Formats: sequence, structure tokens, C-alpha cells
Amino acid sequence: MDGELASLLAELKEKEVLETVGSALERGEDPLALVERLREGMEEVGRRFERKEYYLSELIMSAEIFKEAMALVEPRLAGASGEAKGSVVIGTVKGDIHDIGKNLVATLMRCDGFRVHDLGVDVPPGLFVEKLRETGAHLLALSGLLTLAFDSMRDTVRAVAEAGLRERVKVIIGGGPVDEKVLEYVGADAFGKDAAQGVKLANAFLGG
Amino acid sequence: MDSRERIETAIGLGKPDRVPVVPIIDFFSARYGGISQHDMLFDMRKADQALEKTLRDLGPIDGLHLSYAGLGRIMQLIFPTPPVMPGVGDEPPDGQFQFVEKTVMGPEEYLEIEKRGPLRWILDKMKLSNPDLGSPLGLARALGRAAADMARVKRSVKGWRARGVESLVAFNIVFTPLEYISLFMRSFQEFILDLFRRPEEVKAASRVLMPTMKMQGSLMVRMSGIRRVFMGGTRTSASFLSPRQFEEFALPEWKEMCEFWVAKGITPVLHFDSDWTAFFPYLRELPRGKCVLNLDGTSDIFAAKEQLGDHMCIMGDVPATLLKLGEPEEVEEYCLRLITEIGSDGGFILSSGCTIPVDAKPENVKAMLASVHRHSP
Repeated sequence: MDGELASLLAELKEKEVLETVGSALERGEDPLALVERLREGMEEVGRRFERKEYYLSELIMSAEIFKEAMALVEPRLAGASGEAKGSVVIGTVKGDIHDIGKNLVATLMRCDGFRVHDLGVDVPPGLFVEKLRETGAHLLALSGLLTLAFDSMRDTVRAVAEAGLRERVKVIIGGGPVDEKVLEYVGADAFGKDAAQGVKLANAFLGG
Repeated sequence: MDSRERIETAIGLGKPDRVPVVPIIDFFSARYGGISQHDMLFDMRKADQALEKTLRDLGPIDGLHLSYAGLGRIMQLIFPTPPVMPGVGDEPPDGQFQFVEKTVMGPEEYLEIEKRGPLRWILDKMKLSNPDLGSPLGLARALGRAAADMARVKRSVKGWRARGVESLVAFNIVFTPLEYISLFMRSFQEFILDLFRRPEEVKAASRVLMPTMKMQGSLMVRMSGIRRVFMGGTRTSASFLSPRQFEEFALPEWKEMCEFWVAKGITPVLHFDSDWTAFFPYLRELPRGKCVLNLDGTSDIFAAKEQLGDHMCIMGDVPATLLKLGEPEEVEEYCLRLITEIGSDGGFILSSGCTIPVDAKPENVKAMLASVHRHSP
């Protein structure tokens, strides 16, 4: 059964995943073990994405199923959900309201076990700094699609440095036009070309 | 050859006297020409003056690609989720025009479009942001204003043509039903999930909306007098969909629409944002020598040349990032590569990857526009 749940998720069988989780919980199975199977399913989805067997739509669907399954499991966890891999503050920078990529990275990071603080869109530098202070997060993920966002990303990285947090906080950036040149301009630590790469970077920086 | 002949020769896969250059330039030319983004969107005369200064200083172009100049009021009207419009509401006059991602259609509505009638259903959605459209008088006024604005744009198009600058598509903007649903109705995430959860309903909505989309495009063509249409594609790209989903949902739409325009002697300009590289082989199913593949810098344009160069005109794709952060030498080097590797045997139009960004370096724009004169394939 254990392997079956993971493979049902990897095959994007929404109904079957939710039924399997529901009946396992009714039988009193360990909710943490179920979470582990679901994560294994997500890992398989990630591998298929890397092998280009899956595209972004499949990644999105798998994350949705994972979220629904977790909604069933969570009430039974009673605080025993295990330690999060680490905290991430994420948002689309000031002046830009594009959020498809940002939402996707946030969702996939959550599925992968990170605690994600999503500040939304059009976020001024000061808000990012405030949230980093409040949460003690070690990773800041900035998103933007417009070229104007490059300046806001740079301002945000500067604000983090001025607040004395740059030593502690790694900054990753992403969004359609982001490349090596933008990385250098912004002064961030790394960039991701797609959402899956963003999650990989989080794992690399936070030691997941 | 004049600009129009140059462009048409390239579209027909022929080799013009040189590569034509046809950028999306209005956001940039507004700032460079000293007017706000608001003025560009709402005042055709000011927009034209700003463009005139830009072209005088930075170099001539063969054509204007899609232009939002003077279309502010129309865009406020037609989108169920109104875009962020500079100078409207709390937005600063020189802010950035942006589309808003919002869900205004429930999952149950896919099957309701037919019952309600597609045109009436779309009008219902437009009323969400424009309640005035609910009354016959309000609707008449709105249509009157839109017609007046289009007439102003049409005059501008005529004026530019007289000065040797061809308008590629003017305001002839059409969408395939699924691009339209994802962009303006369901929003990205919901639309993707619908493809898995209710595939037949999505396909039914696509079929029902298709005639309305064609009718809207035909009306634009008649009003503008320009026989090319801008077809925006991003939500059905390989950045998001799998090849299986593209084949099942999107390809039939793209084929049907392109064949419809081509049969009428109208050229579809496929403005494909995001990454379409994995779907290039499918584009061979579109009519040969009749469509333009316009890429934004995300797809591999050189692979497009290899796989589709004998099938459709390729247009693009100087990246926005390069125009903002690069140096003129780098821009020139990239344009030279496009001109020689893609344009050497014709069938190529040099353009910006999507739009020239508002904050591009003027010297980079100058290098891009000059490249077609400096380098012959």
C-alpha cells in the first residue's frame, strides 16, 4: 500500500490519492507515514519533470493533490508534522504584480517541507526586511517579470544589507527575463530559470 | 523595396533587400519621447509625437508591431479584469501597464457559455468591471467611444504608412478561446487544474467560443483595414502544457484559427511568449508561408529556424534584459547573429523579444534599429 500511495500521486490520480489517504486515516494508520509517502510521490513527480516526462501543468496538478491530501492528514498530526526544512520569505517585488511563477515556487517549496512566508505582489523592500527579521528566515526569494523589477530586486537586496541581515540571508531571484546579467545587477546569490530550480536552490542553501 | 514590400516578402518566405525591423516600441518611445505612459495610452497625438522623436533620434523602422498607443479606454472596456492602467485610480501616470491575474469565471461555467450564448456571456463578464454596459445607453456610449478611439488610431496608422512605417497589426488582436479563458476568465492556476479535472468541459467551451473569437477578429480587421492579426499565445506554451495536452486542447484551436485567417487572405502573427521550443514540430501543421512566428526571447529562435525556417516567417527576438542591461556592442552582436543565422535566406523580421522595455538604454535601441542597415545577410 505504501508504495501505491506514492505512485498514485506520481500518476496524478487525484480521487484515488484522496480515497487512499482517507481510508488509511480511518484505519488509524500513522499520519506521519502517510506524509512521507506523499512526499515520495512528489519526489517522483520532480524526477519526471527533470527527465522532461512531466511539464509544468503536471507539477501544478501534483502540488494541488498534495495540498488536498495534506488537508486530510494535518488534523491528525496534532503538531507532530516534523520540523520544517527551513523558512523562506518570498514575494514579487515592488512595481510588479505578476505572481504565477512566485505562487508556483511557494507551493512547491511548501510541498517540499519548507515554511514559506508569502508576502504577495508589489512588495516594497522594507516589508521583506521586516518579515525576514520577524521570522528569522535564512532565504529570501524575489520574483519579477518586468525589467523594472530588476531595480526593485536590487533595492531589496540593498535594504537587506543595510538592515545587517545579508550575512544571514541568502537571496535567490526568478522570473521570465532573469539571467546571469540580472543576477549580477541585482547582487543576489543565485537565480532559478523555473520553479523546480527555485526549490533546488532552497534545498542547496538551507541544507534540505 | 518599401517597408511594406520588405515585410510582405519576408512573410512569404522570400528574401527582401534587407531584413526588416518591426519592434514593439510604444512603452519605450513614450518615456524616451518625454510623455507619461498614461498619455501614450490615452492621447494618440502625444503618442505619435513621442514616437516621432524616438525614431528621429534612434533610427528608422520598417514597421510598428503591436501598439497600445491610444487604446487605453478600449482596454479598460474590453477586459473583464481591467489591467493596471497608468494614471487611472491610484496608479502613477508613468507607471507600468500590467495585466491582472484574477478568476472571474467559476468551473461550472464552461458548460454555461453555450446556454447563455457566448457573446452575451462575454458581455456579462465585461459588465463586472464596467457596470455601465448593463444599460443600452451605456453600451452605446462605450461602443461609440471605442469606435472614436479606433478611428484615431487608424488615422495614426495611415499617417505612419505615408512616412514609410507600416503597421503590422494595428489593433487587430485576437485570442484562441483557451488563451482567452486562461488570461482573462479562469486565471492560470485554475485553468491548468481544469485541464485535468474537466477536460471535456474545457473543450466544449473552446468550441462554443471559437466563432465569437473569429467574429471579433474579423471586425477588427474590417475596422483597421490591415490584413494581419496579432494572436497572443503564452498559456498554451510548452512552459506550461505537456505535448499531450497541447495536442489534445490547444493545437486544434491554433490550426482552426490560422486556417480561418489564411483562407481570408489574412496573415496570423503568432506572438508567442514563454517557451514554445518543444512545440515547434506541431507548427508545421499550420499553412506554409502564410503565418509569422514571433518569439519573445524565451524560445530557442535558432531552433525555430532549423525546424520551421522553410515553413513560416520567423520574427524576434532581442531580449528585454539585453536591451536594459546590455551594452550596444552586445545588442549589435546578437542582432548580427539573428540577421546572418536566421535572415540569410529571407523569411525573417527583426523585432524586440515581446516589447522593448520602458527602461531600455536608448543606445541599445539605437544599436538594434541600426543593425539591419549595417549588416546584410
